[in-house]
Amino acid sequence: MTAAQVVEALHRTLPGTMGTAFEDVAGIVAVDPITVRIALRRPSQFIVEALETSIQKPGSQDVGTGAYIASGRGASVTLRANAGYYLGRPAIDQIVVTSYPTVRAAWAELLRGNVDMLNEVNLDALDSLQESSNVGVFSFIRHYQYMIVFGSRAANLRSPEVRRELSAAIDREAIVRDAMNGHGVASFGPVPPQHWTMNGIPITTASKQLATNLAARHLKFRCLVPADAVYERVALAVKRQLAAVSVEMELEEASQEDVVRAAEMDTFDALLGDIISGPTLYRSYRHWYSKTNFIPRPLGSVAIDAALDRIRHARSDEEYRQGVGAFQRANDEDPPALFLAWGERARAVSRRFSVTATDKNADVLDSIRLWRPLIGRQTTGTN
Amino acid sequence: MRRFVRHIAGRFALLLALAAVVPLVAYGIVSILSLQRGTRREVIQGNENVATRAAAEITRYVTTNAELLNALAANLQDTGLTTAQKDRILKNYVLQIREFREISLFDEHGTPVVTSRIGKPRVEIPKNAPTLIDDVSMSGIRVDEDLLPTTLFAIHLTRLGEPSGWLVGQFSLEEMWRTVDRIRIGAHGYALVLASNGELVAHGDPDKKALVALSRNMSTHPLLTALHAANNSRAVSSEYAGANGDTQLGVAATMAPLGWTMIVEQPTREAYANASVLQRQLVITISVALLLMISVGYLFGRQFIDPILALQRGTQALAAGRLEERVDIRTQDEFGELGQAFNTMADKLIELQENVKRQERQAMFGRIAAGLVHDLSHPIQNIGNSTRLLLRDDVDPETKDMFRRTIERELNTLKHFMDDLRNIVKPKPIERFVMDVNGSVAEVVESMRPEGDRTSVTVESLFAEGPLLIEGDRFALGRVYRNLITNAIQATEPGGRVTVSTSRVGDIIEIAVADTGSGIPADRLGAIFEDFMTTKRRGLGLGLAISKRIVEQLDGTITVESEVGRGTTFTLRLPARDDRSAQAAAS
Repeated sequence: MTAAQVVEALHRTLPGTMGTAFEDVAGIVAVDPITVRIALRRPSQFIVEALETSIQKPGSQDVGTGAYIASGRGASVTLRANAGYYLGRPAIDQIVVTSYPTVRAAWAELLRGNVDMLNEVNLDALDSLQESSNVGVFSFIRHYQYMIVFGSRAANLRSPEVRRELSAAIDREAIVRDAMNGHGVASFGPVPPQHWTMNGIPITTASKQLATNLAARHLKFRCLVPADAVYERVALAVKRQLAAVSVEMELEEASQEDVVRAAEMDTFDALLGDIISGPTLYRSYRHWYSKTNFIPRPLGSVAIDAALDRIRHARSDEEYRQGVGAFQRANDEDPPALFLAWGERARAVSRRFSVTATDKNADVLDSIRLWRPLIGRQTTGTN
Repeated sequence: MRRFVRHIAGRFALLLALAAVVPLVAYGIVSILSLQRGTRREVIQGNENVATRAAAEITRYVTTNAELLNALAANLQDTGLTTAQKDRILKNYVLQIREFREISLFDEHGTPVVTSRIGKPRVEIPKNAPTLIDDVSMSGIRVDEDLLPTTLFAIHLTRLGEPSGWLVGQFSLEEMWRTVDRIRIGAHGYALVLASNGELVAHGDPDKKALVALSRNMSTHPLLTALHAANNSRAVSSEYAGANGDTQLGVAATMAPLGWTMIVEQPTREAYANASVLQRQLVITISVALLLMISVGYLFGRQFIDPILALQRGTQALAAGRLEERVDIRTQDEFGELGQAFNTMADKLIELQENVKRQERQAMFGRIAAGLVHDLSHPIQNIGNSTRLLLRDDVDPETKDMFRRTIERELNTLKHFMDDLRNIVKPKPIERFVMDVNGSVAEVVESMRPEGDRTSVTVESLFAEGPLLIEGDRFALGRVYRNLITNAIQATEPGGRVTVSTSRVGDIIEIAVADTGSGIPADRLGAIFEDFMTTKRRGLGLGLAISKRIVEQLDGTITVESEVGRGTTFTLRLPARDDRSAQAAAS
């Protein structure tokens, strides 16, 4: 891998992923075989976050810049330790990723010792998993949140006032409690609550009066719901809450493919999704900046665009923080979606490994390169 | 043991054991057995209560939800609700009651009418499900793909007495899992639930959750067998080997309407840990008490027995003649008084002994003096008389010669007497020569016959065929013979007989001097060979002592047999000498 190859890869991927933010880039050149210089036209906070793009060797399908090099596709993917990883070679040599049809099947394999880690346990099965002498369970709040994204098709949802009233009608804590069995955190906007800028930024909760205005509107819209028990319960909970203010949200079960198709074609009133919203503001920029090509396309808002630009070109932490505050307020004023709750997930790991977490509430998978097989308990399974 | 008991210390230890140790040990054994049984009964009862309560709680939880569904069915029947209203009710119901993951209404033909799901119903009308309560039937429990235990409730709806459809609810039993998870007895006591077919559907041990995921069938569980044997009584208990080899105390309770079984298992080492601790404490306490009791008993016993032993030692010392021995008993009790009495007695004994010795010395002095007077007065008187007669002029020479010989004889007697005394103080050395016993004895017998004749005692001799050779001192042995014959003559009444005989028994030459005299009392026989010991009214009592010393110097022995009124026999035994040279020398 040379600097020239990196430059070529960045030129190929960054315009697509950054969208209009790529305008900040004046040029990307290879200074020498190991140095890449990126020149900016103006300050750009997102360029660093956008560099997480995959960089592959020409002619190779493998990604070789992380702690592990992935090979294979489909049902079985193998991750091999990257000896040249800049933070050091991971202690685990190889990871084989295998898909299982059900949580139960995967969990049974884990308990049998045939699997060393269960990657993700959803909300429904979370309570059934418990730490044991053989398996440790590590839960965390994901960077994904359940939200009902509004499409541009429904005319009765175009009004920011209507969407504010809908947002005000949602009791997010009740959703976390009733639909997610308490395994989640209420969401009041696109920015993760643990983001460093959120400390000091007030969370605005709309007044009940705002929600009661909906009763006179006889609002009705259709919401696509992926076929999944948790989605279903969240959707039913929202439906019940909206029904309480005379809003009829008609639920339509749809496969993931149907949901994606409707999002791409913008043929939906609203759709319930579990959409990545963190950990950085770059994610929000990609979702909600009107000129990006994210699917589903955002409704667009001048105020949101302006706030995201302030973040994008912030010259200091304070400017960045002010930009995030403006972004939060813009979402309150003209919500592009009903932000509902940040979901909780868990990863189950065999105790044959010493799992190091970088943060108490962080995803332990983030630090997988630091995991170590315990001496004397070396796995004989497919680790 | 008998020897042990003969000693007072042994008896005292036995008394202590019987009075204190044995009852204490018996108490300990009874207490431990009672503790074991009582604790075991309490633990089993406690675990049975837990299992029974948990079983009742789960049963109530399931039946309550079945009743809720039944109530919902009542709300949906004949109430004139529109399909949309029914749809909303079902959807709200599953949100409100989390245990219901789905509720669907079917018509009599099984066609879905409304459902709580957004899409199509996933549940189907269960076939041949047994009735749980009232109109609600319940299918078998199963662990679904998401690892959650679920079952189906089904209610057959009627309208105007005619079947009109089904209300089916998919019921999640997560709460049952939580109930089971909450049950923790000690550190390793867990609950588990078996379905009616023996399939494990819940386990409180996190490490055993895998068995649930694997749908482990446990229909051969010992408690299920015991429960069936007990005709599904309310609860049974048993001890059996667990999967890891540990003995488990298990109790099982039936959940009658559901057909499930609640089992609570706990390793016996933990279940009875308190009893074991108490038992250990009891054993330690009893052991310490025993040790203490034995120590105190030992110390007390020592205090009790030591004076007795001291008295015993003192008595033995006194018996051994150590009259200076005293006991040191400083107690203020009877033993102290006894010790003082003992010491006083010992003092008295010394005083008495001194008195006796003094009296003995006085008696001996008297006897010696009398003996001296007796033994010396006659020769001295004879010498005096003979000397006076010898000095007279009217005595013819022949008579004078007789007086002279008398004087010489008496002087010789005095000389012998003085020799005896000297021999007592400083014995003469023995000079050994080979000699014929018969010859030496015959000489003495012949010389003593006149003495016997004077007292009308016949002195006779019986000699074995000789020669009987020994290595001896002719003069010393002659003295011995004379002593013995003289004593015999003196002890024999007139008309009696003194017989001196010789014989050979193997390598021993025996010389016996027997008389028909008065005999020696048996209590004095042992002392007759001691110095100054005599049975005669007069005399120093040195003869036998000297005789014994001479015989022993010649490697021989002298013994005496006597019977009062029948006579006495002294027997000398000397080693024989048979070689020819000896015979030649003797001849």
